[in-house]
Amino acid sequence: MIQLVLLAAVEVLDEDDPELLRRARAGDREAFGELFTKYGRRVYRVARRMCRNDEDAWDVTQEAFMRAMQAMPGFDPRYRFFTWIYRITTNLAINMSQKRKRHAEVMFDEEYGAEGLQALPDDLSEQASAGELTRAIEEAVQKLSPPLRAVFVLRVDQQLSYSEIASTLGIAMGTVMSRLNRARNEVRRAVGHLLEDGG
Amino acid sequence: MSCPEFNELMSYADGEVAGADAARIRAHLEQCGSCRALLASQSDIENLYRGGFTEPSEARMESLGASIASDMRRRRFYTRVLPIAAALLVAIGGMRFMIRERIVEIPGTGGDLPVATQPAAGAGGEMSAETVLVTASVPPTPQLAADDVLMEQQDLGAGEESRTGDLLSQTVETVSSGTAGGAMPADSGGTFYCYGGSGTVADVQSTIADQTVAADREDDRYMLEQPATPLGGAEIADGAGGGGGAASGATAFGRTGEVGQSQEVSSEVFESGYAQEAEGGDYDNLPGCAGLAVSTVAAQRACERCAVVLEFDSSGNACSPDSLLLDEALPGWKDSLQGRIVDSILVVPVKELEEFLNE
Repeated sequence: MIQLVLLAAVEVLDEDDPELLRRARAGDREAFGELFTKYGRRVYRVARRMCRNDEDAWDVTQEAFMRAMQAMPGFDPRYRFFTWIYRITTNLAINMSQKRKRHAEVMFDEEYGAEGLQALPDDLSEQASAGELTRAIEEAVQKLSPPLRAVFVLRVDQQLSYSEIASTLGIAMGTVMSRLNRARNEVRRAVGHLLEDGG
Repeated sequence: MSCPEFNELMSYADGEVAGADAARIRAHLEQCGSCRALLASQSDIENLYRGGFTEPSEARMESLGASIASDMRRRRFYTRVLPIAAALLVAIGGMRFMIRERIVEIPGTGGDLPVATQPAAGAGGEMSAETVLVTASVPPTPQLAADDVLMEQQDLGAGEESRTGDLLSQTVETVSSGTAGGAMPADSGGTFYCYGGSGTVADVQSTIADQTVAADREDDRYMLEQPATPLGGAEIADGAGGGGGAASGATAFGRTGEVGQSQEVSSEVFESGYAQEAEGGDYDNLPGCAGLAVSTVAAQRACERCAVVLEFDSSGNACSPDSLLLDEALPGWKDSLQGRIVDSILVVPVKELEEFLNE
């Protein structure tokens, strides 16, 4: 049967996730739009956690979905979509971080001094409000190297299991554990003095 | 009792420690205030971090969704159409080179804008073809109601099955020398070629015996690349007033500019031409491709002005030399279509191409 193929969009509907993924894999843009609706916020959140600024996070989110769409036909349905797109997102964000590294360091140093958060005055620890502490934690996470940050974000913010993190980042479980341990220790060191017990 | 390492404690807190190890840590925590405090403070840090996120507004997410959709369209167009168009131009260029064509000014068009290529005498190449390229900058020289002609084509019964093996005579007729130029709108810019677009060939009639049949013989392939040399004993009559066949007053495409001339060409000629060209390619199943012609015409009609029309059979095999050339020029290009070309015909509207390039 001859079929006419134009470049116009194909509009189809979706029901559930496997069906949604099947249709998205077949190039159904609407299905992909539904995937965006479903995962867009989570992806943005990961991107925002990974990126230094909001603008980069939006860019990474958009690019992640674009790449996912382009690679969708090759997506293996045995895997979870969010794991897959998280991987795209974190890779993009890591690349973005590396690109922005110099700029970010300059900004950070200007804001906190060359020593970073550890240079915060001691008396602040006693007055640190939850908001200030939160900000300090966020800054400390931002100071982590991108690989450490990715593990930290996926575990602490997204609460993925170690195996999910390993799958998402394409690293071994042992690597997940060691990176997570290092990330936690670094963050803790950075903000410990703001905690009640001094860390 | 010695305290567990920090990473061990955290793994426990993360729910990643099970069995005897978990029991051991649990027991330790019941007795060790220091480790409990450590876990508590770490929990504070992580809870603050999780809770400190500001969710984007719904409007912002919608805006992002719209941007992605827009970007998708643009990239899809870019990744699919432009390579195809570029490859096709390369293919056309290659064919032109192979047949050692010469550029022929079309009389009466007042310049070198509408051009046709003809095989040089004695070229005798494997690509025994005559290819017509029409530049987009061609002025709207006498268009003899191309739209009317298209309507007429519709009435020929598009959709009927092609009977490849049937002997039929065919008259390919262009309206006038200006028709070729009229294949593209005058304002369409000068970048692209219209390749086999509807409007270049104003009318095609196919007959089996005395019966007019099968508009699917309106194959662009036939229109564009008539064998320059009669094959298989078939005859191409070329002369004013018709070739003694089914129609008269026709001008064969590929003879653009020679208004009033006609050709009567046996389908065997075309089939032989295909076969001959297929020797250098992989046209194992050309008859299976014949039915594409209807859709080709329909596709062209659908997009009105098509920049690229490519044909593939139901298995995705190239159905014409240009399709094969494209395959060869851009291996895997069909993969980029992500399975959405269920084979057959890909049409790239000129307008869409232009819109993309104008962005």
